[in-house]
Amino acid sequence: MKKVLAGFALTLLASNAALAAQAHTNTGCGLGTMLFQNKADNSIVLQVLQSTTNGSTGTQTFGISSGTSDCQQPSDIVQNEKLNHFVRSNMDNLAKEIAMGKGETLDTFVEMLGVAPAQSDAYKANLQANFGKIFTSDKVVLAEVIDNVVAVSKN
Amino acid sequence: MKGRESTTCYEYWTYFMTIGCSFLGRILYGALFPALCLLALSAPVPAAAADAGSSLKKLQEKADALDLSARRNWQILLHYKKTITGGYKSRISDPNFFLSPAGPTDPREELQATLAGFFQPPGIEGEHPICRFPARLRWLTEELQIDPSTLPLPSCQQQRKLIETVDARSAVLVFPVGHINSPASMFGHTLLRIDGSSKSSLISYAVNYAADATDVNGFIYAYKGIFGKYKGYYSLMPYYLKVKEYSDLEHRDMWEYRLKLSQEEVDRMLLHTLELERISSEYYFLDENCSFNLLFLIEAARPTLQLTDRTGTLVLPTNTIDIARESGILEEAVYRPSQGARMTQMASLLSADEQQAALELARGRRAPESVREGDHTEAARRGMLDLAAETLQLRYAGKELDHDAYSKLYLKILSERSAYGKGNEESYAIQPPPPHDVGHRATRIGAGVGVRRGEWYGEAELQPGFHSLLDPDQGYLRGAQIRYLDTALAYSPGPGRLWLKTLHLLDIVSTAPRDRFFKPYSWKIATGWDTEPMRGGRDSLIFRLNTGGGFSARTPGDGIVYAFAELDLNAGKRFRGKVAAGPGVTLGVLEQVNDRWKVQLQGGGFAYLLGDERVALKGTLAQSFRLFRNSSLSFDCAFTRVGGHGVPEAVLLAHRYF
Repeated sequence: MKKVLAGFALTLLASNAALAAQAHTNTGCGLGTMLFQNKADNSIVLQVLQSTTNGSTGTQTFGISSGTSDCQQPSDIVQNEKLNHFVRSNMDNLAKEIAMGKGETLDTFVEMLGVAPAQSDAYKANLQANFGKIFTSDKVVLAEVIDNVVAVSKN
Repeated sequence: MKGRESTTCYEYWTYFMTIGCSFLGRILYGALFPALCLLALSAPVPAAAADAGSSLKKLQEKADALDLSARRNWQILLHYKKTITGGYKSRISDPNFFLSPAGPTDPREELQATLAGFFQPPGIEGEHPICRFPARLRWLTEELQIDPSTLPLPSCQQQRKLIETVDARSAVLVFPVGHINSPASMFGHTLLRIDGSSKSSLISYAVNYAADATDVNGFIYAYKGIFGKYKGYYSLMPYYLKVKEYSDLEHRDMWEYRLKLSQEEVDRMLLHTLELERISSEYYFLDENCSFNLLFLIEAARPTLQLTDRTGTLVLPTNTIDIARESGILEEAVYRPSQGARMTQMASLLSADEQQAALELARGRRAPESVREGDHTEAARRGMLDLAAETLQLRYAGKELDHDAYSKLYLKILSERSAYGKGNEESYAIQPPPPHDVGHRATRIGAGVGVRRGEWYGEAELQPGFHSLLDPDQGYLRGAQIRYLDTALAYSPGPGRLWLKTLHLLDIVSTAPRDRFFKPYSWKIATGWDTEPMRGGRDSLIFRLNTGGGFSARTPGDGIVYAFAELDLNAGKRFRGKVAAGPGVTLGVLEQVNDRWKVQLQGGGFAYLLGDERVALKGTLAQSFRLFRNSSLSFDCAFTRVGGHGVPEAVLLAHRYF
């Protein structure tokens, strides 16, 4: 009986957590949300003293990625947690570099998509030309960006 | 989230069962939970147990015969250091790092317990010693020729997945240089990067050692940091997070030194890193810090290297680079410019009007389409938009505008930018500044002669660290000074008098030039003892705390001109009332005349209104000449005027850095 009760309690806990996660869906999955995350108080004193410990958040994590399951997931072929996390964390720089047609974040993104090095330049030029179709609004989120990139690349 | 949630629950549940079984189960709940206990103990123990027992015993005897626990490899893996009494003590105190309670001080006992641990029946996923200590397992297997088929087979899934994802092929020592407005960060930081097969290093993994500090109060922070009150942990995370932190957020350039390690050595490094997951050690800012602790990982990769033994009482990140360099495992440094450096480069390609236009774009005072108008080259139109986008990111980071306004404007600028092609790839390439390796060593000694009020003296000085405004800048932050315990002793042969000129506990100056795009403040703080003329004209040793804030800017000659408003608090036995305090102003210019010759002209005045009333004026012309990487000359002339008494002084010193 106890086991059953405990199991029930656990299920309840898990579903609560799932609901909580649902409620947060897509906050922090768009532009400007991960740009300067973890930014400490910018006071000079703290800045000076902070470097005494090199303390920053995530000091204990051994995570290969911190996950994007609180974001809407891309629908297309690209179901790659590593890619999702990269795009989520670097959305602003990625947008900038797609618009510029060059840059390390863009190169990384294109490599992660599995574009052959020989086609990389043409691929990047195509993304740049279709910037407006990828970043469709200032509310665009991770899943849409990846789906839009895939759609644009099919043309 | 769901998946992780349930894993945690599962682990907690199994854990509970095991604890319940081993301690209370049989005694109290023996009757209530027999089924549960059976579940937990139903692992394949019985048949193989006798066999395992005998092979374990053989291995333990063999390990003793070979005296494996005295080998360097073992000492590195357990972070042992020799004690004064000839024993051993691990630098790690976390009991989870040891399988024997005697482990922290007894290498042999720990080795025996580790072997026994390997033969323990598989229990909780990931908790078996085989999963937790893969580097020990590999080394002991090699040395003792352990037959893997005699060992239990725990699944270690998490670890296997991690090793697969990281896909370690090579390793890089990364050094983010100091922050321009935070001279303390001149100590820098070091981390390791483990590269996989991808071309891009952004998606490599960073291994970082840091204090787990949550205090917001800066002084508590510093106190705990220095006295080992924080726990340090290793962490593993995507490198792009670290690049964002240092390069974008803090505007620190990064230097990346690839390590000359074989595939096997890189594997060993990763395995040892995994052993340190969630293991805490006391974090000491001064010696057992981020940089020091990374040396263990490099030693674990190649145990013949002696790195951790070679550090002194103070371990600066730059020291660790020097140590690694001298041991011959570093390749040439690769420069990764910070966002700030990239912006400066972008701005340098534009005219003043165009820079202003970029700033207005970023402030939303000018429509992005407006770059089409006017007489600009195609490259300049691109440049204005690029610079505007970067500046806008900075404004958002500085909370100058809210999220909605930022993302709308950002997309507008980028959308316009996307119409201009990519332009010349090379134009934003930045000429790397001299790397740290060409800079002077951190400790300075000096000797020379001086004359004060016509009286000759000999002087000896010591600056244990780190860099003064007049030291050669190569490899250091320009305009930043951090010195501690710098001491100058003088001996006047005439009267036969030995006197302390200065002893500064700490002396920091941060001049951060302001320009169109960056508006930092400059600041300074110094405390310690100085010999200064009193109102009566006689010299006396005083204790001082001086601090100030102000502005600085670049001069046309690429030097720095600065102005500080300061407050000076003095205490000394020759003051009336023993103390004096008052405001003051310091103005100065620091000019790098050529590669070797640096000049600083500075004037200041203080009105001591409290305590011992007086006005003190001081003008200095200081020059330094870089002779070699680690030697320089300095020649300072100063004139001080206090209460109608003028004190002229000149000093010529030769310095050596080591």
